[in-house]
Amino acid sequence: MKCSQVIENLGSYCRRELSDGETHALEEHLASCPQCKKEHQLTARVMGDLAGVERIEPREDFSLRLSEKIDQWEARKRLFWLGALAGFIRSNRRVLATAAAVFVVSLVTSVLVIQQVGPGRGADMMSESGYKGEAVEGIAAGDFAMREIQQQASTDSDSVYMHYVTGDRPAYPGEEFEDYVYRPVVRTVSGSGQTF
Amino acid sequence: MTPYTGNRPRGRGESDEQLMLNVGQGDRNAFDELVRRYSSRMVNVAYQVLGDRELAEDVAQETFLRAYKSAARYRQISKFSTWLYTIALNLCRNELRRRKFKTYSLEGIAERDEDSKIRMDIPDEKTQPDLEMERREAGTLVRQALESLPEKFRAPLVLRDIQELTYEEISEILNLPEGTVKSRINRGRMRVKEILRPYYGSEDSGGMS
Repeated sequence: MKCSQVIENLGSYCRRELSDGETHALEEHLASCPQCKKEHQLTARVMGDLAGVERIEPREDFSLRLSEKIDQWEARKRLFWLGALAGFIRSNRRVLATAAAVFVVSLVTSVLVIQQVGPGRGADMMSESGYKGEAVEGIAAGDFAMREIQQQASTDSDSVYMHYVTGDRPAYPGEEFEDYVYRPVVRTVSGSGQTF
Repeated sequence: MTPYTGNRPRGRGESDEQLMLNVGQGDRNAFDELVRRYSSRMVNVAYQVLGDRELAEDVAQETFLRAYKSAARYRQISKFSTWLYTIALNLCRNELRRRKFKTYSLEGIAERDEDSKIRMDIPDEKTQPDLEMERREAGTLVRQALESLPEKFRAPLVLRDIQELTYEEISEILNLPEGTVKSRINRGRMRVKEILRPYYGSEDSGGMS
């Protein structure tokens, strides 16, 4: 190993970063070269001082100050979202007012319609008019059941028909029709007469 | 959401990465534990790169603050320590650029000085200082030598020879190929040695073949 190579690798040698082969070659050279040996002594001293360079400790209130900064940031973040929401409302107040009005009117209308028609009445009306659709068991369950029938009717095929069998059911509280009957549903496939 | 754990001390077995994931779910105690583990290292790395204690504190605080802000987006791609060092080093770099950090080069002063001698608080040869003072002054010399290094040598040197990180970690932190990192560290070491050569006594100085 040449002197220039040794000098270049002295730092790594002091940090034990060289391979076994490199270390061996370098040590052989150091044993026979007084100048490189002196350079090694200087390098070792510099490396030692570098490793032992002054360390400082964080100030005692480091965590406390950091915690306060985080709290402030969290508060600002909350304010930001509130501010963003307020800004959105301000800039879209006409649209939002219209949407709110439509919502309220729809709500009131729905309540009035439900009061007029009554729960489950929709299913009765459909059965009376010979509604054709896929069978749903326990149909007399009010508006929810009616909605299901309407949804299914749109995808139904002509080959499936509904037949209703009447049965007794207690009236809903406050229901107008005291003779209201429970109408479980069975369905048959058209033509085959199969019931399932 | 991680359940509130009160002031229960965190187990030592919990990895940094797991703690950080917990921070992302709103666990402030996990963050406190990470601060406890890394505050000293962050303050020191900033101090060794910037050479200013107050600034180092500010940079370390900002490092943790940014880590906290990013906690919800934190993904375990690399080691938490590497990630934190990257934030700190980026902040140091910004600080150096922003303030046009006033480094004074020992070499520069030496060149300007008529006697080619650096006027620093170095031991007077007539009065032999005690060992502790000598050690402290050697530490000051090394720190000043570090500060006089260009940033591209200083950061890798600090991370390797003072912070004791691996080449692989340094490569990731500085976003440089490992070969470049090794080369810069080596050149940095040689520069520091050349800066300090005049102060380390005639018995250490020797000519090269």
